Amino acid sequence: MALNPKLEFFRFTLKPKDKNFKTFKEFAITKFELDKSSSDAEIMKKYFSYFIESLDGDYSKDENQKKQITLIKNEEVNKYLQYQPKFKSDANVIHGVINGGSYGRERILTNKNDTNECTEMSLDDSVLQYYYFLLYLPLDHNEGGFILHSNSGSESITKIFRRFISKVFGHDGFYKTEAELFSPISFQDEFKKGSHLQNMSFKKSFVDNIPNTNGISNKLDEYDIIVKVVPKNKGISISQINQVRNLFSKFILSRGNQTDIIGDFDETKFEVRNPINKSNKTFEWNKKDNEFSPVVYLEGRIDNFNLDGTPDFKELEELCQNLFNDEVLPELRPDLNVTRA
Amino acid sequence: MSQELNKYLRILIKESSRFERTDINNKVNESFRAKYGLKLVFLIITLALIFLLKSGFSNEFISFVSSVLSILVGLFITALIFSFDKFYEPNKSEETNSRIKLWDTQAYNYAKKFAYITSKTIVVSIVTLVALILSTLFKESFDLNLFEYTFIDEKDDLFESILTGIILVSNFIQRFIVIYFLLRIMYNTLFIVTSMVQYMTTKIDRM
Repeated sequence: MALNPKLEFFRFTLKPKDKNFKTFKEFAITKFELDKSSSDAEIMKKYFSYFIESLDGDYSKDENQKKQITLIKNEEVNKYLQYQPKFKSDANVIHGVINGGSYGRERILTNKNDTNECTEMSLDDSVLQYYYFLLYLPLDHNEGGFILHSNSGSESITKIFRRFISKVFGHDGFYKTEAELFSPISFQDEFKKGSHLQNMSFKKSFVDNIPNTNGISNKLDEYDIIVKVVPKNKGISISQINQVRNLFSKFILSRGNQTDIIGDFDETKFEVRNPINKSNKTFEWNKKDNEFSPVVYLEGRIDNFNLDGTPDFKELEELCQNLFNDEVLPELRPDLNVTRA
Repeated sequence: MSQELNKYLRILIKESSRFERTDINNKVNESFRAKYGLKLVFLIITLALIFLLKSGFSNEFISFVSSVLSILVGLFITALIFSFDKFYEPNKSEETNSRIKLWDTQAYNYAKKFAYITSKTIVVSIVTLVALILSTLFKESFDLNLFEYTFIDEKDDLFESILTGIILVSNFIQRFIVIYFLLRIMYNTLFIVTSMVQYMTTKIDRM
């Protein structure tokens, strides 16, 4: 399998400017000018139609990333239209498969077996793929979240979807909301048990603006710089990870007068191996919480994959529903576990 | 009435023991430490103090502790009545969200926890006062040095030996009850005062 599909978990909070606690219901009433007596089902329906409309709006395209998300409703083209987004008003959830991909490149579309059969793709042509998401908008609470699937580092709509959510849940009287990566504690515990460090890597996508005579400087944005630390002793336990990170994050990448501290790179990952079940897991550094979050790869969790290496969306839907109910919801909504004595 | 009292006492002891390990989210801590940790510490301190005291409680101690306990009982009964409608007011507003529901449930749980622990402290204080009264009523029998007595193999004074044994055991039990319960009362008083302050300031912050 060339791809390595994974799930990422994000949470975001509504931030009203008057600093009062505002629920997603109150947000909807303000934003959609609904009646205060509107039922939860009506509000979720409104959220759903707003979400679908927004997929065709300005927020769904990012000129910097040259990416867009949308929903192709042509069933002859969209192979997985049966899994298109739908909503569950009682669970306050919108979920389904949307399309996303890049545009803004001059490309040629051709048959690999017959290159004479080809057409030109313009800068406005997007190449779209299929991505599953599950969005939670609790009508009685101010913090929502989403689970998002991606296929690899480049085959991903994570950045644009995060941005999309920030924009969609913006309104007068509310500060911009930021979706933050998080990992349910149960995953962290599952991955941490008995694992040993294999390697740690620091990655930076360079955008260099230093004048340089040899010209390479202008092309630095086309490269990722990865610094990989591999311990000779494979017995370093996961509890020592922070010490390892602290040690190497002080190292400096230097070019002339320009210096970059490795710890400030865009991405820090480490890979651990569990000697008991002989499985490898990757963790990413979460800058907000200052801790490593495990990446939930779908291999091993999903039995069936499509011919192109993407996960079977029916199975993925079931997995995400279960993960959401069992792992994510208890963490996003601890108040639901509080009962009367 | 005695049947009712027994029932009320049983409920109070059972529920207060549970609430001592229950937080305001109704999560019960079932760990060994939570269940027995404090009891073991108090047990060790109590046995050590019984060993150190030797001849029981002095008159000054009895007078001082009786006064303190009487004040505390009065204070706790006032706090209990005060807590009845101050700590928990049911949410009557139509507007409801996760935060209001959470606060409502936490206030309900805290009010119950406060009521049970305060009531238990009052009962324990009364039992301690009754145990101290024994030292005043039967002064000579309750200031014996437990460590001066040994077992002997004499069958002539069997009745006297049994009576002495009963008195010595009563001495031990009385001292144990007073010291163990005083430790418990001190601990509960600290909990009642600190949790009440925390609860009140949190409630003010939420306004």
